[in-house]
Amino acid sequence: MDLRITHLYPEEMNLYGDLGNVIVLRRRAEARDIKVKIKSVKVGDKLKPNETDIYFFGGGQDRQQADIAPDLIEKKKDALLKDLRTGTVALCICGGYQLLGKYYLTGESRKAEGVGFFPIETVAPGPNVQQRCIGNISTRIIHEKTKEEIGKYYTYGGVKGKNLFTLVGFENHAGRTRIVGKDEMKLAKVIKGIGDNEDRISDGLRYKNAFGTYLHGSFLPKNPHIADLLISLAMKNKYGRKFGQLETLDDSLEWQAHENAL
Amino acid sequence: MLVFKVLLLKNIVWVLRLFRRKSGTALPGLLAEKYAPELFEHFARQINRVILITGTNGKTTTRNLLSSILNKAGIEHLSNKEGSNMKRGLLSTFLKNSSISGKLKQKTAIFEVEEATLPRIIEYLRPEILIVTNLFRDQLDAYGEVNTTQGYIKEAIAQSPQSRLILNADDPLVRELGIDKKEEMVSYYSIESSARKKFNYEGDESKIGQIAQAIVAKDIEITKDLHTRFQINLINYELKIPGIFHVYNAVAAIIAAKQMNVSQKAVQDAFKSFKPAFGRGEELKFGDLNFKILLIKNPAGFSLTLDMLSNVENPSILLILNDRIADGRDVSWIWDAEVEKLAKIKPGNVFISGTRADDMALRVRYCENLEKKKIRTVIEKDLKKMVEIIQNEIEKGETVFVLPTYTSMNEFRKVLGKKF
Repeated sequence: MDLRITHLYPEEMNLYGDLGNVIVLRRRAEARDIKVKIKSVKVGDKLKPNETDIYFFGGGQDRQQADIAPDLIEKKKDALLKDLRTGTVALCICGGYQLLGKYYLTGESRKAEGVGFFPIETVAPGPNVQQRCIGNISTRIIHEKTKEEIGKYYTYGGVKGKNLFTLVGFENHAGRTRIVGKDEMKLAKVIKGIGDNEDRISDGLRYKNAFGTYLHGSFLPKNPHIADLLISLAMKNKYGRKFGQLETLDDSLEWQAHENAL
Repeated sequence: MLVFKVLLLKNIVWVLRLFRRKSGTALPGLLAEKYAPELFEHFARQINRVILITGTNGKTTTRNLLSSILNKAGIEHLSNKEGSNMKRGLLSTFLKNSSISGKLKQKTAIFEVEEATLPRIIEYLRPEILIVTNLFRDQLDAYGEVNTTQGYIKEAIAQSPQSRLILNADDPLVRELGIDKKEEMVSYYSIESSARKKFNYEGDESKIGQIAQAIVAKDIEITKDLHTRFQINLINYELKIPGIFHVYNAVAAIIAAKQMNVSQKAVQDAFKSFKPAFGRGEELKFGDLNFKILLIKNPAGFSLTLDMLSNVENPSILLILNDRIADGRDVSWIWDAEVEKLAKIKPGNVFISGTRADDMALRVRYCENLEKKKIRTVIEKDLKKMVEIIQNEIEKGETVFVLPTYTSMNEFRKVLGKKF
């Protein structure tokens, strides 16, 4: 079996260790004897639909983010929307999360048009460091389907049930995100940190199989349940009943780091 | 009034020592910055010749090297060797060296300056030479986007048109800084292309125009005893610290020394007796063990340090990751470093410690196949306990390579009972 990961804009959108997410997806899939192919899609490349099992879209500096936005609309949007609407798995962190929404207005009032898949709008209050949301963050998943699927696809003996629904990471963003659609898409509620906006209520979104969040850290190393969920959903999409369940890995180190970060 | 202020601030250093507070190096400067800001200009005016060094990596080693060269040449000078490179650190250096009446006897100064501080002080210091080492991503949670950092330096250069620039030509963001300057006001340096490939510089080379010829270091070699050899204009140099990145620092220091009319003999003598600064390859003895300290602060430095360790057979490595303010609260940068190089080094042991030992342990776990682990790791958050473990596990006389972040380096020294 094989897994095709498409890394969107690895040069421009690669802040705060986001590459770690791709490393973790690859290593965890390979540990299950799944062959992994990683494709980098850069500025200028025309994205084609039906060639990807998991999209990864990381965060970038404001300037880079506004720079790539026109290319995203022109060369990637159609294929991306086609895939995401039919349930292709995607993990979008910070800038990637924002650009899957309607738009991002930067601190210098440059408007970066998003692909409009997530019903969110993001505005940065200004260009100053003081106005950024920076720090450790932990959240609890409230998205019902996600909770159910983690229970179904992720197994690890040594974990207490309550921890299976928490997420940990580090946030660093200027943008404040508002949901302009259904609340039931919300991914998680904030335990510690800021998240989507100053209300400190929610962070992230899930629509179909696309996940958006502000959690860097890197995100997946300390959240192995999400890593395995993404791989499982992608394998289920691709192989249907032929895919059963991922083999259990020894994630004691992952959960120790997770609990220490909670 | 001035005498009173200088006297008061100078004595704070003494009082702090009395109470064994070694953290006091920047405090007089901090107080001076707040209560007597005019002192900076007062001191700066007394210096005739200023050389400033800025950039994300290599400031300390470059300053240290140039300072050794000037010592050999008998040129008395000030240098912020305590490593505090913000305005308050320079003020502390001034205060420490001034007479009670606020007079400095040194007329030359070599300062390393943090990038954002540079435009705030350059008009007072009016440097004869400004060295820019490189612009790697660093201190990301301080929002140190490289474009912003480059902006600070551009602003400083515009404020100080009389300064000659010494620039790393291999870093596109640094090379760009010299484009608007007259040719005779800029010197570029570079290293041979086989070595240059190991550096992932930011920025787009194609967007920058042609530059005048650069001075190139060639025949770069890391020896078995971890010295660094290279050649410039057919003259051989040997540095007693390991790392290709130090070749850059050395070339910059050599060019600056030449521009200050220092003799070649002084340069050679300085290289022979050069001792690395804290954490830049210094060796610490502890009982029967040797620790070699190689500070890591950002992905570029971490990757290059691992690369360098591939010259050692089965090295034992101690990684210490802290997340205090001086280290950066965000530890995600370890995922941007090519820790995969660790798997190729085939280390004897990898010891992992620090406040964020878990995160580092995960990074090491994911640098190889999860089911076919080859790297042997020992994880212990508590540094004191970790040193005990190492004492039990490592054979006498062996060298352990310690890769700490900034605050963990200081903690490590403390555990070994070494002074700062």
